[in-house]
Amino acid sequence: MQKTFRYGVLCAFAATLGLAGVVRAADDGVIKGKVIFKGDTDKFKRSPIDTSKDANCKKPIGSWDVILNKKTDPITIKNVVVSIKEGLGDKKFPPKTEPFKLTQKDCQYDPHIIAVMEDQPVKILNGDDTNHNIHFLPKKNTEENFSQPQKDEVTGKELKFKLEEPFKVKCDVHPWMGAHVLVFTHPYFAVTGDDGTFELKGLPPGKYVVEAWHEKFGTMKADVEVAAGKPAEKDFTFEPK
Amino acid sequence: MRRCSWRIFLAVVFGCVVLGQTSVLRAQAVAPKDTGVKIDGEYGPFLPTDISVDGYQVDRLINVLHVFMIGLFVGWGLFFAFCLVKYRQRPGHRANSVLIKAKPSKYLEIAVAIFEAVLLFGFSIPVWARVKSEFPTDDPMRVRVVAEQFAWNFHYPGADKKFGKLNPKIIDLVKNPLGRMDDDPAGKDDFVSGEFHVIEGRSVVVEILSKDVIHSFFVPVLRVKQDAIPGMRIPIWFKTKEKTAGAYEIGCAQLCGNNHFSMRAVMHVDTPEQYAAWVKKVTAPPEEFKED
Ligand SMILES: [Cu+2]
Ligand SMILES: [Cu+2]
Repeated sequence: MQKTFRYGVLCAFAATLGLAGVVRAADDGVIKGKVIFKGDTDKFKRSPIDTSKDANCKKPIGSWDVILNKKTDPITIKNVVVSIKEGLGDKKFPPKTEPFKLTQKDCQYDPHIIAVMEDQPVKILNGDDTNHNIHFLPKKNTEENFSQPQKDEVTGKELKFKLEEPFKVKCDVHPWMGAHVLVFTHPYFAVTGDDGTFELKGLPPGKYVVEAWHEKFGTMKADVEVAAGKPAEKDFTFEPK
Repeated sequence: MRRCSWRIFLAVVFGCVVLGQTSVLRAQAVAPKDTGVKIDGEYGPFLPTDISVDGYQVDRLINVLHVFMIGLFVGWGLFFAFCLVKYRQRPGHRANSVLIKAKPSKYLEIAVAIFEAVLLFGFSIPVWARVKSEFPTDDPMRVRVVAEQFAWNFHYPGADKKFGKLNPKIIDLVKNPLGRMDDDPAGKDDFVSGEFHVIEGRSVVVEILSKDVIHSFFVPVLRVKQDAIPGMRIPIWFKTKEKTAGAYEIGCAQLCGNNHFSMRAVMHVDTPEQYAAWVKKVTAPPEEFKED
């Protein structure tokens, strides 16, 4: 009896390995590119934020609705979320278990874009010596509103979002503090950083609709075909007036 | 047995009083740290420092009321104890709960009612009317205080002493927290800050507004407390004493939501030079923000 069980376990293990190998071999498609800005950069200067409401907020901070990477050529845009919109079919994906860390530091959110999977834990920390209030303002997910009065890097509160949607977060103590949450049902999304590039990895070959989302410039869609073994390249260009 | 339960009851009451008092003291001990700057003035279990030229009147009223209340409490308490003992049921004597029907006590009651009416209509209302409708004429500073969950905004009219129009539809929490309109000439030189600055020894007229719920603008060292009510613009005034420059605490005195406790700001009482320097700083055209 026990022997049969042991063999069974071994067989199952081997089968899982084999299957994983097959899946990995197939899902190695990549979409990469950058998000380019075209237009007058003077219209989208970052302005300093007046933090005088709380003398604990000492470090100068700037507005974050548009952050252009002026050092890249061409000029790219930071904090654009690129994701697969269509083409994955009905496939279900297990949520990421690694918690997403959102820190309130110098009276602003770090990072400014919270891109997570459904049911992925979001850990919220207060890195400032002042009280912050985290107010999530979703339409479909459950609203959350609580304060973190103590500076605490270790514990913090953990949240999970259940439904796919983009929504805002704000701090009611420091009205200028804001961030965006984007919830996805799949792991194929990326946020552009200081170089304005993105990369969606581990995609099965196929045809996809890819979406680029920016809080001020809106969304943009593109059809991309992914072939096995060769990264597909796709750049997005926003031309705001 | 009965005596024992009395002792427990007294111990619980005493315990509650001690706990309540220590938590009050502790709350006052942490207050200055939370504002982020060093707060001047003495705060303790009794009345805090008074930097307003009219504050002594409020203090006197508080003291007089307390003395009267203590007198009434002790007097009535003694009378109550006297009645309990004198008219208690005991062998040969039945407790009597029938009210007195004598004439003198009725006259006394009427006299008390007339006395209180005179206090209210003859003294309180005229004083209140004067405080609320007569404003200082010695060229006061004018500031609008706009409360919101959970912060204070201070709107200054600038050199023209005229406030520009505010439009709630164009409020931008990052760049334009009050919805100031660019096309209003009266608002051209206005400025908004999260700090409250006044000049020492000068009258100030403050208009109090709210963006959302009821708050209360409370400056303990000025003995000033006024509700901020959405849809209303409520003016109050005060004048600081000479040589009171420093930083003082502003709090919200009306439970307004889950962060009511951290809804505070700092009032800076400046010398004229300090005030001019601050105005220059906040009205300087903003430079582009660059990350270092
Ligand atoms: Cu905050
Ligand atoms: Cu309040």
